[in-house]
Amino acid sequence: MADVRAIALSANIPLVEGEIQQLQSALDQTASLVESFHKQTSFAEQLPPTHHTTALVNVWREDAVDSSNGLSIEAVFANGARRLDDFIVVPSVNSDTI
Amino acid sequence: MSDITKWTLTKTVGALKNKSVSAAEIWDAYQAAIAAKNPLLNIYLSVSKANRDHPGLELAGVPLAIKDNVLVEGLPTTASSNVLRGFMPPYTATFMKKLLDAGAQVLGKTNLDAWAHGSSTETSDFGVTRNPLNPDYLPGGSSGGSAAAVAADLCPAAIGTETAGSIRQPSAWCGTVGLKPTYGRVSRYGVVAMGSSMDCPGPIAKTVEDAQLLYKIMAGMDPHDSTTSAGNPPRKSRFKIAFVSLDIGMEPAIIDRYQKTIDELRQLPIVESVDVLDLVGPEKALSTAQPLDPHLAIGLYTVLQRAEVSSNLARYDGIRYGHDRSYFGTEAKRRVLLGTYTLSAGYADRLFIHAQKVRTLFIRNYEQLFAKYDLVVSPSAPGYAMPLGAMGDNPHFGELMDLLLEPSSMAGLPGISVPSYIDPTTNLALGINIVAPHWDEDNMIALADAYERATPWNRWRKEAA
Repeated sequence: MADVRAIALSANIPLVEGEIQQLQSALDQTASLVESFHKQTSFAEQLPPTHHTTALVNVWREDAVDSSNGLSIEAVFANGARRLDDFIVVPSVNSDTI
Repeated sequence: MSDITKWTLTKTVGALKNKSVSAAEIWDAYQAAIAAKNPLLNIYLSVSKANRDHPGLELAGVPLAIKDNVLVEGLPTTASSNVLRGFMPPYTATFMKKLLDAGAQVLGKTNLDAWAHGSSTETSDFGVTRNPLNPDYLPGGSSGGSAAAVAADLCPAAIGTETAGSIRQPSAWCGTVGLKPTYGRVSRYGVVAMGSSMDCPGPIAKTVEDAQLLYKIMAGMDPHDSTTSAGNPPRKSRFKIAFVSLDIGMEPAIIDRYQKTIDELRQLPIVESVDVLDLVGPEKALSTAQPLDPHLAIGLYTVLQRAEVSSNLARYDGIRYGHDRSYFGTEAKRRVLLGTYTLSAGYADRLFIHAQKVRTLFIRNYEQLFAKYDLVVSPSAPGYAMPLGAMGDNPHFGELMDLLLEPSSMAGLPGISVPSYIDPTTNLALGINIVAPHWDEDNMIALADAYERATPWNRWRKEAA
């Protein structure tokens, strides 16, 4: 079975010690259900996968900037992003913390 | 004057147009009702203060309850998660703009399962909503706050969103009407994304004609959502109905009740026939006009939804807005972890791509059904509303409650839930789910409206006069 701590690392989900067992149990339970579903539906392997439920394909638009569909600089920062001039400050990718 | 808050949306609109009531009177009546009932029911997460009137517009002065995963500029949006606590949207969802441009105003934002993950509102970081029909029971979800707002007469109508039952299931449990349009009929732009290949906004209302009124305004193509599309099949005068087998593990008393529902449908003048169809397994799903066993939709939805959730929730990192990922609740973590697992190297083809093939099987099974029948009908849920606390630690509670709705949602089909019974002992409701081919909302609505008018199960029908 999948190790919940390894998956959480991949998904960037911080876990606290008290919830690891519970999440591992839920993951095992759901992964088991998914495996069972896979066996029950092996017949469908012959079919093409669904890409869009109403068969919509190739939606195009002009390759141009739509200035009516954007946010002002002030609106971008209005929800609390850390700011340096007109740039958003992000954590270092070398840091252990988020 | 009768109690304004018990009026249907249609009656409210009419009264505003003929000036027998003012927008301010309507607004004040709902504000007073919310102040009285919300402390017990926990329906509204925030209530608006602005009251604007735009005489002459179709919905001028009409207040609506909006699920709190829909962006409205200047009003807080949380998706019922601590991650977005304090977030103020910088723009408005396209379909909301259409409603506001028609004169509607936002009464407040309603509770939901956090990120719309669930069918009870028990996963909300802001507490559970109680069912107005019986406060010891759940309202369903994820649009439980919106359905409860309608059921408690705390708005004339509300907006929900559905990925696999989140409009229709709470509507069934709260005794309201819930309309989920064809995928792509209503723009998703400005809705907090959950399962992007299934997400669909729609109305929750007191009557079918109320739901239709809002749906017609909300629908339409949107350059901001490239998955919007349109179709317009011809109207029919009589319907051949396929009723999905009741042999899905429901209690005998509920099966008996739905047998009576089938009789009620057969007596409608616009119904030509009702065939009750046995379920089939995957091997027969492409060769017969019988419904594929909906239990297979549990595994299918589990794979598809978790995968899309893990992708959509990846954007929440607390850098540009909101709080960091340690603020996710247990249910969101469960879903992100499973989705990450099914999309990981070595599993994506075997699990995710395979699930998309099973999705094709469901879509083609519906094509078989709609080649012979006009509409497919089933119970909206396997039973009545469940008591508070029923979800517990069951990671598949939502899938089980939405069992009869997931197949049509994953096929992108439109559906509507209308009340089909109210238990005189518990005051809890049952509903029927009417499903139509893609873009065929009008015929679906016609049957729902005829059923509602011919049966006594809608609490507001006599108020609609």
